Amino acid sequence: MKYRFPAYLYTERAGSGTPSLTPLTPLILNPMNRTRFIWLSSLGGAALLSPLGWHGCTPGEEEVLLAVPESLLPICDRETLIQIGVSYLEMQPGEHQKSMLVKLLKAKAGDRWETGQKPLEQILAEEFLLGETVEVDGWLLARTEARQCALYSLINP
Amino acid sequence: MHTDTRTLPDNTLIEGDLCIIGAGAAGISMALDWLGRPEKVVLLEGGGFEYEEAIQDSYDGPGSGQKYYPLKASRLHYFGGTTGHWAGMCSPFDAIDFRARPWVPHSGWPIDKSALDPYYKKAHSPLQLGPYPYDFDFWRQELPNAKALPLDPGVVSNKMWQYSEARFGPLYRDTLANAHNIALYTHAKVVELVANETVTQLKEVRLQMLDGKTHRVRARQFVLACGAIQNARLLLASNQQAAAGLGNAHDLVGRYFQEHLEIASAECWFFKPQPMSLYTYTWRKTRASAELALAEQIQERHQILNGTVSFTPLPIGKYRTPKMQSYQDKDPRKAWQNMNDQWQKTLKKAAEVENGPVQWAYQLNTRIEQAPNPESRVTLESERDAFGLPRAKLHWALTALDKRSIRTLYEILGQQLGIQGLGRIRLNDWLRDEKDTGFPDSTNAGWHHMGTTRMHEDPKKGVVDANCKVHGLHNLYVAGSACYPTSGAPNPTLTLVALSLRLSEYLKKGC
Repeated sequence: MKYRFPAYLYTERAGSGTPSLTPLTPLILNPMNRTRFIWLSSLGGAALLSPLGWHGCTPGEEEVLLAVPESLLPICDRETLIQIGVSYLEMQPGEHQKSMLVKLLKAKAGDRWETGQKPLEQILAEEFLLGETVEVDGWLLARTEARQCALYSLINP
Repeated sequence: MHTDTRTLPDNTLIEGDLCIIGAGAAGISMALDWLGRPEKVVLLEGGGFEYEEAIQDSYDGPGSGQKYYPLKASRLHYFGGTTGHWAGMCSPFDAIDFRARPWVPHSGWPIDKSALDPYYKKAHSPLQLGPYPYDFDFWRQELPNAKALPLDPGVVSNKMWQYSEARFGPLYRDTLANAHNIALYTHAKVVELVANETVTQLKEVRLQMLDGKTHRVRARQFVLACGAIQNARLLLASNQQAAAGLGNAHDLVGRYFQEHLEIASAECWFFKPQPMSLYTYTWRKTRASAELALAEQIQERHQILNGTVSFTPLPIGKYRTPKMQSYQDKDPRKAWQNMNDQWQKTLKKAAEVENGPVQWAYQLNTRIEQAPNPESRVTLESERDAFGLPRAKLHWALTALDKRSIRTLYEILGQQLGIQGLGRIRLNDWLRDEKDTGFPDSTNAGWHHMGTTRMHEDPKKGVVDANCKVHGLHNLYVAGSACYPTSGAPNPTLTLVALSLRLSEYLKKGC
């Protein structure tokens, strides 16, 4: 499954040689539920059938949903997310498979992520607290969000 | 009384009770502290009341090691010294800065912060600062918009700053020139400290005029207050009776030169706009502001140096030219102008920046002490200036601890932002490789010269003792940041004025 990031979700900075600084439009900077809605909308109709998670999704849809690094959406554009993912996989070649990343992400979230018992924000906060972090392209990230970017980069080569 | 030394007949002998060499923040603060007393204070300034190229040239000298500002432009050589263009940032050192920290080689002062506290408060007077308290709880009541970022105070604290606009030259010229017990001599360039035959006390200092005339000054007590580079230069150059220079029996004079590393280190991307008034500084408007600092126990746990983090809006920060690049003209006036021009260009570019989260993203700037390093040092060149004084050479050398401390500082801050769900941090390129201990040429320094006559009770480990007296010489003292064994995170002026006032009180007891 391949999709293009909707053009209205990000802007190109004129003359920029550093896409990592390219901001998103204010549209994507609204509360997480709206962000999530925009993202999921961009993923296609099938995903919308299960907007709270991957429960009941096909394997392909599951990957897509897990690959949404919601925490970083307010600050990173598509290219940045992909670059983070690519760089993470260079650092962790053992995780360079969608199935491996899905397994790791699901193992982290258990069955709680999609049911809302333990929001992603809490998982990430706990990872920061426990030092389960990783530096990718200078970004200091929770490992889970780095893996989400990695999966996202594999889905969007 | 004021005298232009150039008008005196050749070989004039000037006498007083206390001779202060240098009329910058340290020297003037001390002289003010002696107003109205029975003792006669001789205050010597090598320059006049305004900038003079022929005088300023005396500060020129080569550098090596880490890229640095031209020495000639890094200090002002006239009455008032570098307060003539300083930024006025003031904050006291932390208690940890005075302690011997096992993870910081050569750290530890022979005094603790409580010894300086009364003088910090007193230093607020010449610096024309507000109330002395620097704790955040005090300023939270004073500043209506002082809302702190919601970070764990056990890890990250708010280090408060106040801002002085005191230009010591115009502020105190008349006061000192009209004082009955202060003899202010301008164009009184000291080129040699002359000791007695046994080299146990200073007998006199020798003044050199550009026209060839020389004069002498005798006093019971002498205080060197010329700044860390010039103090070391004078001690090293005074080698007629001690081959290595006065106070240099253990090859320490000029060593341990320290600066503050002031460098853009990371980006902070908040998920949403944050109230940043507390962390914002506007020239002549901000009474006090904060920078983020790590709690002492966190520094100890991670074995790092003490530093702070300030915020610059990223649209400004990403276009800003490093000071180390824009302040490279040897003429301090031109260097300053160039730096200001670059700043105006930066503001213009920043105004064109796009919408989006970049508008509430920030460049994180480190301000951190430099680890004491004996290889970072001031030495003498064979070339001499127009007064016949050997020029100073600076070899500025940083260490792996400096680099690791900065990186760790942001790892911790990034972790705290993550825990609180406030945003993410992105390290700048130069900080990403853990194994790289080097610093780029764009590394800024604060124009803060410290540590060349470090304080230690053991003459083998320090040039001056806890009272700032040069070891082995009964009546020679050093005032200012040259005495710092470690450099703390804050700009040095408040502490150097406090230390000078402490020395002043000590000398009053002896005079």
